Amino acid sequence: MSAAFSGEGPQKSYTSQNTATTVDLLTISQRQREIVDGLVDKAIKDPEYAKGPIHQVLMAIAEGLGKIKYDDYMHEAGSPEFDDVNTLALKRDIEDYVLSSLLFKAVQNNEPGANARDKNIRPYLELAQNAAIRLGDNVKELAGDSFSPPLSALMDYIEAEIQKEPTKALT
Amino acid sequence: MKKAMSNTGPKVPYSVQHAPATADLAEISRREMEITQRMIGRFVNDTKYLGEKAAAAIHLSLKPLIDATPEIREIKGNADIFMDAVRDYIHNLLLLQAAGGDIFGMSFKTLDKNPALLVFYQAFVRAGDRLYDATNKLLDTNVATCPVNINRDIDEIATAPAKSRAE
Repeated sequence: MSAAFSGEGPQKSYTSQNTATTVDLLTISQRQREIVDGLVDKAIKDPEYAKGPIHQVLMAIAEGLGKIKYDDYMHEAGSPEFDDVNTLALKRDIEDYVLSSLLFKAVQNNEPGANARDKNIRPYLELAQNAAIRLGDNVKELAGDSFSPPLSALMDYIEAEIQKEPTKALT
Repeated sequence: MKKAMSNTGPKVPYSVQHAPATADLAEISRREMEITQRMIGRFVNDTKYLGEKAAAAIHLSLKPLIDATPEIREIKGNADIFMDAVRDYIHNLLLLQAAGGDIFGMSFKTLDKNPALLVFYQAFVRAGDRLYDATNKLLDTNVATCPVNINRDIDEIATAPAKSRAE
């Protein structure tokens, strides 16, 4: 039986890597919710923070969280038409981007650039990059290239929130 | 009071909710590569699985310098997206399993009681949708006629070795 597995296992010990990259997934998921929640709070308080579709998405999430009544709020703000399908897709992209960024930061132990070529870390970098591309593509589809400044602000805010209370690997 | 409590709490011990769901991210990466390699073997070597054209495009995606017909080069982009979707799906599946999720038998009631699990479940479902779309695009089919269920095949591979190790 052991011979059958001998070819599948790693050639060297993973002990040190195991210790450095063990994370608490409950904390990661809790932080994802906190960050998305914080993003929504900021958009509610400051209508200038995110405009157009991104603002609509954040307000739709706010309604889902029970913070506002979307129709009332957007009516007051003179909102344009609201596309449910695209907005839902964008909401998912934001959640994916935050989650994958948290995982990447955790596995990287919040040392920018550290071990980016490590075969164990690279998949998390790719997950985060793919999520960022999807988010960017969806925003462009909704609002065109001119929306790059609000998108950049959104990503900067997420980055700042992650750094505020970094989720480090358990040691 | 006793009656009220019995309505709110789970009927069975629910360890996931209370214990930290620790996961070794390096081990998950290693398992992802292992499962991806097995799926690649199937995609490329078993030309009946996705068809010869898709198999050749995936081969080209993995080894861009090999010889390929213009027709195959034309769909290389779809094969790239497909392979990204495969890795993404496997990774999210493993994260969900590590968080305590049972991909074959999870109810909405379970998810509702465990917000942490819900986050990873949602990410997994989204990855599944993307894989389905990418498969259809690569095979130039639509959802109704997609000839293979790659999600199911990956689920089976991902679950089986984990069980073997535990034994």
